[in-house]
Amino acid sequence: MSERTLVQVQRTIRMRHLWKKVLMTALVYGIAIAYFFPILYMFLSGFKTEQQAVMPAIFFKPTLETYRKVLSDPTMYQYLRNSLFQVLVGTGVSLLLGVPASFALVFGRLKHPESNGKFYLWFITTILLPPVAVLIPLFTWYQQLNLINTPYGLMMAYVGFHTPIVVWMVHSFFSDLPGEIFEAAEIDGCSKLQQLTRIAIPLARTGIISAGLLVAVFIWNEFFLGFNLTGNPTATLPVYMSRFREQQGMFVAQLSASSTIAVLPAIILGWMTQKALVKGLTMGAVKG
Amino acid sequence: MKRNAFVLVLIVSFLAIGTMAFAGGAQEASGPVTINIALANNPISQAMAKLVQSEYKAEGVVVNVSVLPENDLRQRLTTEASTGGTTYDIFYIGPYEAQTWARNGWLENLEPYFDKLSSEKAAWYDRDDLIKGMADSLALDGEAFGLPFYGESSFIMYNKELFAQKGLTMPMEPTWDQIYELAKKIHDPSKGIVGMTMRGAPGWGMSGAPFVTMVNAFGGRFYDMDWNATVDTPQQRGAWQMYKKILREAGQADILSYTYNECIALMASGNAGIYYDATSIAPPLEAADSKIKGKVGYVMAPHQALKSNTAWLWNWSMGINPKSSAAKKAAAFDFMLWATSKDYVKKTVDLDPTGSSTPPASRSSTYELPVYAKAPYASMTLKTLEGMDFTKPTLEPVPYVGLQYIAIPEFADAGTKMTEYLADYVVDKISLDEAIRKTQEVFEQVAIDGNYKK
Amino acid sequence: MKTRKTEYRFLMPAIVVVAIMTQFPFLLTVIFSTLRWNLSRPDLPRTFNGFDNYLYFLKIESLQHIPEFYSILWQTVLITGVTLLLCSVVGFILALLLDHEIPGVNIARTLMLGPFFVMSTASGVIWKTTIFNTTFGWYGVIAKALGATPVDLVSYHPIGVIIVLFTWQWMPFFILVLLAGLQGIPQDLVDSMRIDGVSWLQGVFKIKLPLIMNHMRVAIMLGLVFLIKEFGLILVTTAGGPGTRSYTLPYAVYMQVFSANNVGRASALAVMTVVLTLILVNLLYRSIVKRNARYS
Repeated sequence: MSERTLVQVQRTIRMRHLWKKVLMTALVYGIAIAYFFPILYMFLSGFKTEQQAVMPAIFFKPTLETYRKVLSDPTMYQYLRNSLFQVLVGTGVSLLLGVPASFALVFGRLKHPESNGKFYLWFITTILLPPVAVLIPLFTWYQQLNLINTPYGLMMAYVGFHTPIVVWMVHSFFSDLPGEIFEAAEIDGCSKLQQLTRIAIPLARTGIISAGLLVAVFIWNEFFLGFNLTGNPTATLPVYMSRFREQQGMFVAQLSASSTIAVLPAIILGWMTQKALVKGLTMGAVKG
Repeated sequence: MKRNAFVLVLIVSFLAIGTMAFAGGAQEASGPVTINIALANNPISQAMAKLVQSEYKAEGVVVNVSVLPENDLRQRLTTEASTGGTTYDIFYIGPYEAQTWARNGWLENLEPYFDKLSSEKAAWYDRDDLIKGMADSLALDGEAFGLPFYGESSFIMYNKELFAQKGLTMPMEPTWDQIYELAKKIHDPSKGIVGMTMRGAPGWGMSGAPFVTMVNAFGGRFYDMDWNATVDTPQQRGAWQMYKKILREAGQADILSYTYNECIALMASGNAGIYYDATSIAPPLEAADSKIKGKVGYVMAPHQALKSNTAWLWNWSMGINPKSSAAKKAAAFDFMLWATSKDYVKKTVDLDPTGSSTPPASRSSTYELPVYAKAPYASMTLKTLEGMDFTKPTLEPVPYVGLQYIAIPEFADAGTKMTEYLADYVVDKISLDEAIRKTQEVFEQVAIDGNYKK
Repeated sequence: MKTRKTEYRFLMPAIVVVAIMTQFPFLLTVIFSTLRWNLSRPDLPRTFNGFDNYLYFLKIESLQHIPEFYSILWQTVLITGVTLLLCSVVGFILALLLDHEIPGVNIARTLMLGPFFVMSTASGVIWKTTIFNTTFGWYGVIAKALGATPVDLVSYHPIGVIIVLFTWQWMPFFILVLLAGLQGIPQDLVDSMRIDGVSWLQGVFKIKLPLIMNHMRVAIMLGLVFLIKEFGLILVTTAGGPGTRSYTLPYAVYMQVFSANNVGRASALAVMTVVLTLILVNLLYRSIVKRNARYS
């Protein structure tokens, strides 16, 4: 085999490789954009006027008019504020309850050695419970206690349903920490609370933050309880979005602008949790 | 001790952040009285939602108005009333709810409030001006439990231009057979012309309204005098087949997603020939942005075996939640007087001379307003209202009252199920036999569960 | 003794709150499910009626008259099952695609993850109005441009519509988990595969798939837990219709409470929803545990 042909062969191989790569890239991007298209189109349509938005089109003269209109609507702020309340307080309280609990479950010595596992399993089964199973009693209590009109009722329900998720996720992050640190700290006279706040939380910081972010996304998007356990003054954004269902083909621009506002924060928060999501959500059953 | 304090500080700070985010929402104890009301998502109610903000002034009272999809509103209010909730201080309901709720004690008797009115205020309100049939439908043993905001019956609206193009004429008192033939002649999908549009979205107050009046017209009934369900009868079958025939052969393409909002939009775009719906639907068709303004004809609701009284009777009215506080109830009553007053009607006519935001069929005086009486639909509306008798809905005697509904609490669910089977049948998911059988079973079950059947 | 007290102090608040908000109401639901209790009929007494509420849904009197419950149950299982199947198969293929070294592949991965975080009511109304609508949606416009008559998908193929939307929302999660699995396969194994002359297909199905089977099962289980309780998307797209063709169990419970006001029957239905969830999860969980046992 002469020198020349070898170079030629190598070049052909490289060319074929390159072509393959270009095709593959085009394919992957094509699929990704097509997949993301409904969101993209929603985002774009928010920059249209109602007249422009009636018929589908990707190219148009953008305007901020619709966003301005949506954002100047005071009811939009009310929903936004309610959702923010639920996310901030709901996530905050869930973390406050869930993080110490998972610490106790991972490193604590409960009365019976097998209690740790049992309590953990109990939290997990709670996640399985569909909200329909609790709706009726909660609804009747809330009506009688007038909690429908305050955000606290819904918030409590969110805490009840999301604390187990925090426990679930944070449990797997705490389990990665070496137990010896805490034994050493114990000997040095560190209290459990100090072990939690000074050692465990800083070490599992990223995991806890992504658990919090994910719970925030879940609460932001939660519809069933939000729809059934609120009155108009306390309803959240998903409930607001559901009210567009009766307006087939009308107000597409307004719908798009409102949904962009409702959807974007969750997508951004979600993207931030991307890395920890796999590990946290799969209970460490698989390696992330 | 220190630890507990630390945890406490954390909790308090979280709650503080959240409460700040919510600031202003839940302060009720002191300050102005806030009354909450949720309205149905229809044009005239929406007009009120807008007017409240600018026009209603009452010392120390804040009115929170929101607008909900009609199905949501009904379900929400029913559970609210039945569980004694106080999310809403004013219930925005119809005669169907008013009758059963008044009996259940879920509505405040309004007579004591009327008794306390000063004579000037009473004269200003002029209670006798309320259309009698409407006021009566909200009263129990002569005592008012609700005030009518606006009322409606049903009639046929048709596009005169499309009729003229095809050389067709609409009889003044059409039968369903005639309507079907006309709709088919108008229907022209290649040009985007729909022969006839009607509500297709399931729900007892949605497609149920036109459909039940159709059943009545065909001589069908839902129960005999012993509360045996009578859905499986030739008369009922005739109505089921007609509803499907019209919509499938001459109706809108997205049949089942059409609420009256879509129907109005389609009709106003000039692309539909005939439209059977509430009399209160007419104003938007005559509004400035309607393509058929001035080109709409109005005739009586279609009949068939039953010759008259084939339209429906409904009103949107307001009643007071008996569980609200006394201060809220008083504020609510004052608000209701304002919203159902002559002044309100005048205001809406002044703001919008086409009458599309004017509440119709609640007060006789509305039809004496020069601008409003000129409206093309006004005389036909009055004529339909005159013929209504909601105690004799059908050809044969029945143990219930109500025209497009049966005034028992279970009908909301049974009627909704019926319209769901109807929808199934219309799009060929189930056969007529199956639809009829399932509906028959539902109504039979209601008679047993509700202890109606002896 | 003192340290143990601290541990319970950490654990108890969470347990108490979760129990009050979830377990206790569930117990009440179980109790309600044995009552004859219609909210809209305060004149009828609220009485204990044993299993009547369950029998109302379950009792088959004759084969021609099978209660609605069974079709709702079937629809629930069908929607969840097909969605999970699509998510696993297509998700696996897409994960293989995204497992390539391509410039900026992370951007593509991130884009595809987006739908997972969209609230279901928003994705429902957006798809319904801008895509599925026969006159104003992309589907309608494209179908007309191709000379076909668009049919109202939401009315005629409600289950298909719901499955498409569920899949669109959940596939990103599958891709994410499966991709993590694929990237966890040691590089030298892949290299040795190539040297041994294993074909691409063989490599994928005989080596890669078995290695990430556990990821697949966990993703399926999580998908199941969340999909079976989904409600908002159904409400805003088909509202259970036409008829009851796209009712799922949670939607049926909702209708029983808020439309029929029948607390007793709604509770019975809710309890059966829980039972179904537990059965399905249990089956899946066992298969995971069994497999893990075999491998370790």
